[in-house]
Amino acid sequence: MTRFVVDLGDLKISDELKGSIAADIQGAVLTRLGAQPSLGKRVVYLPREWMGFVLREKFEDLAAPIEKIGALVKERI
Amino acid sequence: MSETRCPSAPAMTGATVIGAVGEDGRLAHFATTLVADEYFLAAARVQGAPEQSFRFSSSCAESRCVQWNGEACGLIGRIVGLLKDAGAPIKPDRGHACTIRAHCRWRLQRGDEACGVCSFVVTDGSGEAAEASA
Repeated sequence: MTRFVVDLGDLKISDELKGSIAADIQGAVLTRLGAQPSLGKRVVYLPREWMGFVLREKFEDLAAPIEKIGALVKERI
Repeated sequence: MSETRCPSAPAMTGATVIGAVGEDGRLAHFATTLVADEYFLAAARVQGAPEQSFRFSSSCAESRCVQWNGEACGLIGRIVGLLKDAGAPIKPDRGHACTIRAHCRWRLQRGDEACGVCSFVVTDGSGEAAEASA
């Protein structure tokens, strides 16, 4: 688990300011995650337990890549 | 607007980011509700389609979505069927963190079985041909 905590101790601040700070922190986390080139570079994701698959915007387009993956797997066995 | 959440929505400003694809190719669900903003999407798009690295959630569009079969989302049933046909180890699961579980369209339809399948699903928004990783 990865967590980031900023503990301001007993400092009293308004709920509005709390919300604003939380939004800024969460936005910073997302922006940095989004900029990471190591995440999601592959087109097809292959879970270790199973071959995985890609859910395409058009589901009907799944057949071709599944066949392609199957052919690749057979070649490597 | 439906309160029910689509767990596989396009990347757009205001969408909830429900998880990121990890090194093992499976989705790691976030435990905190994070909302996509323009800065995040701009950073992610430098690396490619954000949907390849993250999963997004927005309100279920129901009849305005091509996946709507008239009564429900047609996607989760086909995903479960495909995975079962392929011999995937599907196990009902609700153990992982999820910020939309209570209102998730797929979970409302398939229960814990949907949660067991969810992390296998990655949306390819690139429109590119599929290639297997080494």
